[in-house]
Amino acid sequence: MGNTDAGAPVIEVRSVWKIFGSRADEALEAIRRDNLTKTDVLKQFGCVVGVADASFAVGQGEIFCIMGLSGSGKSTLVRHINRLIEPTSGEIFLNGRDVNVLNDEELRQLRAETIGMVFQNMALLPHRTVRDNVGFALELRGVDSYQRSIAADETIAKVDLTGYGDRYPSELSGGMQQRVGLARALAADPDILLMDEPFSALDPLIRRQLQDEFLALSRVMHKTTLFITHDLDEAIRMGSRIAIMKDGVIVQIGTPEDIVTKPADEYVSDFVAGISRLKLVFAHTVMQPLEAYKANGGNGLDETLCPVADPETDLNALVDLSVDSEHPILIKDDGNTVGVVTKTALLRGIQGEP
Amino acid sequence: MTDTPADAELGLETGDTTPSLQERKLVSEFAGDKADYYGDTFVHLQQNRLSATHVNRSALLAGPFWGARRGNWTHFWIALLLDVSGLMLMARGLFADPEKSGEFNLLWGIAVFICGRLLTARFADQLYYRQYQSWRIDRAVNAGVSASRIQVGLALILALGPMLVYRATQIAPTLRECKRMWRAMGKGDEVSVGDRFNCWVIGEVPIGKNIQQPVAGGINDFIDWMTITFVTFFDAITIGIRGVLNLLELIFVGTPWPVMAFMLVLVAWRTAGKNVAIFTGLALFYLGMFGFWQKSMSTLSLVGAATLICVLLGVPIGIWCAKSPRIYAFIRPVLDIMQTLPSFVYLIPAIAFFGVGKPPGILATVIFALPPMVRLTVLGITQVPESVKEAALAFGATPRQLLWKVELPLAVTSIMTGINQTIMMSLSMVVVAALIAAKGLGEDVLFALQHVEHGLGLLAGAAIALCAMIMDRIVQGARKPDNS
Ligand SMILES: Nc1ncnc2c1ncn2[C@@H]1O[C@H](COP(=O)(O)OP(=O)(O)OP(=O)(O)O)[C@@H](O)[C@H]1O
Ligand SMILES: [Mg+2]
Repeated sequence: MGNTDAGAPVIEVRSVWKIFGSRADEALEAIRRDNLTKTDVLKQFGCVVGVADASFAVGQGEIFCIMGLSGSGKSTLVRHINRLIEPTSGEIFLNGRDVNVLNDEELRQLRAETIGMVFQNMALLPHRTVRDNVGFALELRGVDSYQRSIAADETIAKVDLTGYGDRYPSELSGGMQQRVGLARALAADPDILLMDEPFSALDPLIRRQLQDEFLALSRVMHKTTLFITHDLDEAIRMGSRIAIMKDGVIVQIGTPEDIVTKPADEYVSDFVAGISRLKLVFAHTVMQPLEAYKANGGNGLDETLCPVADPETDLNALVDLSVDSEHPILIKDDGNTVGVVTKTALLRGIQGEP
Repeated sequence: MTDTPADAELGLETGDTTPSLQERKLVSEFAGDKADYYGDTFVHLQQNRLSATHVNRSALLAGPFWGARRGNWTHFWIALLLDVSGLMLMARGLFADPEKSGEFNLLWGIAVFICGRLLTARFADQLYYRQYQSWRIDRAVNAGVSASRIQVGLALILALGPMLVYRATQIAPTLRECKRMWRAMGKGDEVSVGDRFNCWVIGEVPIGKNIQQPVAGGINDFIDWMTITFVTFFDAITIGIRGVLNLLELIFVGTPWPVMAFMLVLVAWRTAGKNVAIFTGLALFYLGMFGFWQKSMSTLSLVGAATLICVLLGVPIGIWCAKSPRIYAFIRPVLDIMQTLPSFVYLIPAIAFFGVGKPPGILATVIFALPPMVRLTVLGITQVPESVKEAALAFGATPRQLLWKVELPLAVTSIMTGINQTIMMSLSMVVVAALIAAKGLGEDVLFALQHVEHGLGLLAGAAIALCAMIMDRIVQGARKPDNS
C-alpha cells in the first residue's frame, strides 16, 4: 500500500494536462509540438485548455493554496485529485498510489475514506437534514445510523452548529450552509481535504470568521488540505504555500513571502501589488549586510544605542522598534550581527520597492 | 404626418433627426437604393416616432416583389400568402360557384387583398429594420437591392400563384369520378384536358388508395397470426392484470360502504387535511345518494389498477431513459404515439388479443396514461443538479446509492406529479374502456349516450369527475412532506 514515510508528499501531481473537447488528444499533441496558446487551441481544435502541465506536491499536514482568477482552472485541477475529472495526460499520486489506475471499487473506497471535499456551490443535499448531510459519507460507507449520528453531532459541534442538526439546509444562512459543507467533509475523518473556494460566496466578515475557525480546526486536526481561492489575501492567510494559476498554467509556487517578495512574472506582481507586506516580509529580506552598510558610509554606528531584532522578525515588529529609536535596527542571529535595517530600507520594504 | 418619405427628408435638414454620420453611411450601404428614406425611417423607428398610419409605399405597390428585391423573404412570403389568398377568393367568387355566395367571396377576396397589402406595407419597414440589425451583426445577411432576387421571387410566384388560383375555381373530383374517367379513357373516349389535369393534381394523390388497401390487409393478417401464435403470452398478461385488479376490487368493492366511506375520509384527513376530508365526505355522499356507489368503487379499482401498473412500469422505464439518452431518443416517439393515437385504434386489436372485459380496458388505459409517468420520472431525475450528484460521487457513492439516496428522493415531487397525471388520464379513459365492457361509471355514461338520457349522463359524468377529484386531492396532499 502507500508509503507514508515522513516527508513523502501526501498529494503529488505530475505534469497534469486537462483539455476539454472531443479532439483533446490531438490538441495536446499540437500544443506540445507547436507551443500553442489557450486561444489558439480554442480556434484550431475547438478545445478548452483547463489545466496545462501542472505539477506540485503537498506534504503531510500542509495547507496548500491554489490561487487564480475566475476560469484559470482551479476547480478543474482540484477535481483531478479524487478523479471527478480524468486527466488528458499526467499522473496524480495520493500517498504514493496512482489514482488513475484504481478500479471503480478502489476509487469509491478512496473517495469515501481518504478524501473530504467542500464545494464552491456547497452542493448540500436539500432533502436531508443537516445531520444526515454531515453523516452522508459515513452512510455511503455503510456505518449504522447510531454511530453515524454520534459522529455527525460531534462534527456539527466542531463547526459551531450545535442545535441545527434537525434543520434542513434551506433553513440555514449561506455561511451556516458552508459550515455544513465543511462538516460533511470532516465527518468521515479523511486524511485529505479538498476545498474549492469554500468561502468565496460569503461576505468579508463571515469569511474572516470562517477562515479563523478553519485555521483553528486545522491546527488541531492536522489534515493535508488543498485550498482553492481567487483571493490572494485569503491564500496568504490560509496557505503554508501558494500556487498561482493563470490560464491553466501554474506560474509560481512558493511561500506567501516568496510570492510577495519575488513574484515570478508581471501577472503575479500585479496580484501582489496591493497586498500589505507588514506580516509577510521579514527582516532578512529588507536588511543590508553589515559590511555593505559600512562600505556605504555607515561607519558612525553606535551599536549600543541601536534596537536589536532577529532575522525572522516581520516588518510590523520592525516598525514598532523603529518608532522608538533614532538609530537603525541591528539584526542579530545567534548573537552575531548579520545586518542592518535603516529607516529608508524599512519604508521601501513596506512599499515593496528596493 | 412627419414620417412620409418627403417629410422625413425635410427632417434631415432640421438637424434633430440626423443620425450620426457613420450610421447613416451604414444604412445607405445596407439599403443600396433609397438610402435617405430608409435612413430617416430607421431613425424614426429607433425614436418610436413612426406614426400608426405609416406605410412603405414601394411595398404597398409592389407587394411580394418588394420583399424579393430587398432580400427580405419574411416579407415576401407573408405578402405572397395574403395576395394569393385574396386572389383565390376572388377567383372562387367569379368562376367556381357564381350563384352560391359568389358575390360574397368576390368582395371578401378584394378585402383580403387590400388589407393584406396595407398590412405588409405597414410592417415592411419594421421587418426591414430587423434585417438591417441582423446584417450589422453578420454581413452575410441579404442587403441592397438585386434583380436576380426579383427573378427568384417571380419564379416562385409563377410556380405557385396560377396553380392555387386555378384550384380555387375548380371543384375537386372524387376518387370514384376519376376512376370512371380513367375507365372511359381506357375505352378510348375523349376526355377534356382540364378533367384529366384535375384528377392528377386536385384532390387525393392518385396512387394513395392502391397502396393503402394491400397494406391494411397485410396488417389484418398479421394481427390474426399474432392472436393465434402468442395466445399464451396474451393470456399471461390478462392473468397478471386481473390479479392486480382482483386485489383492488376486494378492497374497494368488497368492503361495505360505511366502512369504505369512513376509511376514505380518514385517509383524506390524515394525508391532506381537514378541508379535503370534508370535500371527500360530500363527494362520497353524492355518489351514495345517486346510486353510483358500487360503480364508483368499481371505477376506482379499475383506475387504481391502471395507475399501479403505470407506476410499476413507468418509473423504471423513466429511470432507464434518464440514464441513457439514446434509449430515451428511441422511447420518446413511442410515448408520443401512445398518447396521441386515438384509443379506438388500439381498442380493436386489444379485443383481438385479450377479448372484452376489464383487463383489456385496463391495458388500453395504461397505454394512454403511461407516457406522463415516464416523462415526469425522466424530468425529475435529469433535473437533479449536476453539482449535487458530483458531491455524492466525491464522497464515494456507488451508482445505486446515487440513484436511491440522491436522484430518486430529489425526483419524488416530479414523480408524484406523474402519478397525478396518470390518475387523471386514467379516469378520462373510463368511458372508452366501458366500450369494451370494462364496467363502472363509464357504463352509465355510455348508456346515457346511446339512449339520449341527458340526466343520467350528467349525473354519471359528475360522479366520474368527483372520483377524479377525490383521488387527485388525496395524492396531492400526500405529496407535501409536512403531511407524510
Ligand atoms: N466540463 C467542461 N467542459 C468544457 N470546458 C470546461 C469544463 N469545465 C471547465 N471548463 C473550462 O476550463 C476552464 C477552467 O475552469 P474552472 O472551472 O476550473 O475555473 P476556476 O478557476 O475554478 O474558475 P472559478 O473561480 O470561476 O470557479 C474554463 O475556461 C472553463 O470554461
Ligand atoms: Mg471554480
